Amino acid sequence: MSRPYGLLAELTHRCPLRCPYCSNPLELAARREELPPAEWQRVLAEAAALGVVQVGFSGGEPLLYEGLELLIETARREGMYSNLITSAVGLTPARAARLRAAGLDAVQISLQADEAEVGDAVAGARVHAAKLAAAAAVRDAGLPLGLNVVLHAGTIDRLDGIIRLAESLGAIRLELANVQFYGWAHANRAALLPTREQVDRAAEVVAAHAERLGPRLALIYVLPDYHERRPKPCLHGWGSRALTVNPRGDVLPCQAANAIPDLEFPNVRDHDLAWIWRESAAFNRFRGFEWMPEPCRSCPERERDFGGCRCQAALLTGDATRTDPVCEFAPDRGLIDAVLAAPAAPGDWRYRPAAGA
Amino acid sequence: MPSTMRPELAPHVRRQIDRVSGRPMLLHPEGAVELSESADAILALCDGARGVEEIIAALAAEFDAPEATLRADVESLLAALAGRGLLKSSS
Repeated sequence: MSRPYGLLAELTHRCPLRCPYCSNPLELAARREELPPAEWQRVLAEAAALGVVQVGFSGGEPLLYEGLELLIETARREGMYSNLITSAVGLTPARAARLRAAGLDAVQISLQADEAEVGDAVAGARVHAAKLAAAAAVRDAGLPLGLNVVLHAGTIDRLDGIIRLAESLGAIRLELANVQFYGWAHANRAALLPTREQVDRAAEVVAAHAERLGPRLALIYVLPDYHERRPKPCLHGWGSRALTVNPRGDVLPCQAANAIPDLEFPNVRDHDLAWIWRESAAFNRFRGFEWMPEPCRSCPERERDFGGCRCQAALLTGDATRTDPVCEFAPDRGLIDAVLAAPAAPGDWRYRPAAGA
Repeated sequence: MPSTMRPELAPHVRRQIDRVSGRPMLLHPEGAVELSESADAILALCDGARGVEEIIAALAAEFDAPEATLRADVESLLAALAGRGLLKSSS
């Protein structure tokens, strides 16, 4: 069994933004359910002992979690590289300096678009201008700046402007993530799904900018999997390299694993992380190839894509052991094609609540 | 690879010994890179003060290997790291 390299620490689901593609589950954790800082410190120490070298402090909005600086200090003391994954609301120059002093290694700020009018409409809050100011504060504090933009029907045509904005903000990396349809994004699929023409054009725009920019601004382009013919090699396999701990302390192989109804996820209040990684039923459920049905079981691609995403299989077919419906060989590919053929409703989405306060 | 440059890891990159494997490793926002002992020895000399020729000379003094081999190792490592944005860009 391999070791985990990365830990996604979802400190809170509270967030000032209401993005309709939020990666948090539909059932958001309330503030009173959140793990206290002392529990998180123990989790971080256990993670480091298990082999984790990267920790992403995420949410919700992690800046709202009291004790964030303490956890960054703990991560640093344990030898882990820490990344703050933030909306940047509340990231003042003073806060950026405190985070840096605590030992933070890098910051990743989400942007919703390249212009305030569009970005604020997607976020469901007036935040775009504050994000640009926060990006400058991050750079002024001497922290490396990454940006992350979720691309969907309403923003994918703005890629050129988004990439130029990232360049002007002095980012060293820009993640351009086509929306993945879990949780809130799944509920808003018709409003968010881009067309084939949009994704083809986007790929060309990204390629042209990547060529021009070279390594000075790394563009990380996450493919729109509904439009692909083969599934994504989700997390390089179940329980293989990374784990997520949510605000309640549940440990998941992936952020979206709540989509799998019949799995019970272990909690850090009941077990240590080493047991959870090595022994728990949830983490062992889809390791290796034994669980696979056909056509995956005898497919040479299984070594590369691991049968695709278990959460997507569960969400779309109700059965997490089935081949990811995105695959052209999947018996359920018709489910994806039906969604692609269905009428789109761009912009007609339901916001997530600014929850859990 | 201009031989006049004075290479150094980018500020967002950390070189450390991995707690679990005991082996050298680079950490950066995208992930972790396991280093060979020879790559680690080269990077230990990439302090932004030494030029490539000085790095090769220092390696030659420490290791029993032909200079051409050391030069090829240094140049290919630096090119690979630069291509991934892990070296300081201007020096």
